[in-house]
Amino acid sequence: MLTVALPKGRLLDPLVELAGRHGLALGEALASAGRQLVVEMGDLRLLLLKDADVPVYVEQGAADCGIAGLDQVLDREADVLRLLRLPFGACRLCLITRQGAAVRAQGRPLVLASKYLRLARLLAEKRGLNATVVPLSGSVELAARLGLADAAVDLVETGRTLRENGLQPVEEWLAVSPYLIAQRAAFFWKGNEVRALRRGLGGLE
Amino acid sequence: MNAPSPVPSGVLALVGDLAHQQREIEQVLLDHLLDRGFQLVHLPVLEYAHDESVGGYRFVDQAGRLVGVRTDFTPLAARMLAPCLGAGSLAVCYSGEVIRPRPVRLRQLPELYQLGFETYGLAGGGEGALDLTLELLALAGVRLADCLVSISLAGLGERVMRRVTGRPPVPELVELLRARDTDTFLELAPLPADAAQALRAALLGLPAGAWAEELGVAAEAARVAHVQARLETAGVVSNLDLAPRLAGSYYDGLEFTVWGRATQAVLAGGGEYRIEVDSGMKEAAGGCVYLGVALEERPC
Repeated sequence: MLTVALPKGRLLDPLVELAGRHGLALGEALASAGRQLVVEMGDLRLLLLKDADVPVYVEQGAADCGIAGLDQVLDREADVLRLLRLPFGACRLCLITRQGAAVRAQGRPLVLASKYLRLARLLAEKRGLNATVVPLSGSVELAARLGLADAAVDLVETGRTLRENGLQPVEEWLAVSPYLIAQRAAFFWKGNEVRALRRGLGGLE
Repeated sequence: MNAPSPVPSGVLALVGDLAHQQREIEQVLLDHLLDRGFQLVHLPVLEYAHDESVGGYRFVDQAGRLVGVRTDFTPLAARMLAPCLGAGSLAVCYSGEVIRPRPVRLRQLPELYQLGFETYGLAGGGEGALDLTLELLALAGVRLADCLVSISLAGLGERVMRRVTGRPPVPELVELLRARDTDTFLELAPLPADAAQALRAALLGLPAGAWAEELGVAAEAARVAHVQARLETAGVVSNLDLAPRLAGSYYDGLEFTVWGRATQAVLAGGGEYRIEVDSGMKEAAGGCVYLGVALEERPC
């Protein structure tokens, strides 16, 4: 039995569609499960979790594998294997400012607003920026627009929301895609099952 | 008395039966090593933190010198014992806690009770250390049929990278190999189709026959295969792990990690390395059991 953590958010529909194309009928199993959060499907036990919790469940061994965005994996500093990058949901983690504004903090650390407390700090450090991160849980872009922060660090897919709110991405900091992730021990113990799941998501060997 | 928690968060105090159990097993394992000719050493919990070898908690003593709390026994033992080794050989064993700022392995506590051994200038190398480590685990009551031994050769991943990319390994690519993120690796370092397929097979844990020749590590894979064949005879499952460990490992030859099925955690580890003595470099090998995790792994 392989326990797989699935994200309930925006990644679920394209994931189900991808798996269906490769003969893995996740859609039927999830549709018949109603509001259950644990669904058995043959040799798979599916857990439906909040997106950000998937890397935690996998790293700690409550799930053998999972589907999680690279942003969540890196922000949680999850020591997991990234076995397959999935061909949907690609976006960019960007530094965002008001349109026409420069990223500048005179004589003090730059204040960044982000849902990604650790990742934003890490990526800022990598760029040599002296920054503090204000943790927010939603509508992060507004923090830059309303002056709560000098800039925001958030995911950008098409950029339309930013444009409509008078904002702009000024730097791409990380290319983000969803991955099939696996717990290190589970990968050793259940290698054949993990590889079969990977094939079921279109992975080549 | 309304006292705060008696230990920092994330560490463990053993009480009553658990403490007795650990003490008894510790004694059984140490007796086994003493019977095999190992000498018991008591290594200090503090050492001068004059270089990067002390990576954990550091503070300053009364004379203003930087002091570190031990994070690992192997390098500490080597530094302490090298001056008295000369041209001879030595086998030592030890037990005690190491303290780390944060766990370095899956599901570990920052504080870890280790029982281990080191040999200097003796035959056996990494294979001998692996055999002895498995003996210790069995004596601790762990079922070896429920263990998986992951074997690697230090620097193997880096050698593969040098071979396939033609460049020295860079940290970003090493990290991708460790995460087995072949997709991003191949995007940053495109490879010919055969090499890409071999790399993917290696990182997916497929048998070395499918990739070792193409990646230029057939001789290394053969050495590991020999060890694996011996383990198989003893009913122990193993694999060859290509992905490099985190930086900072002191092993420079065969190294191993033993995983438990019930805990899905690392029970023991070890390998071969070299230490510098007055007469030059000396072969060394060692292994250590994470006693708390091993006890948790034992069948009820």
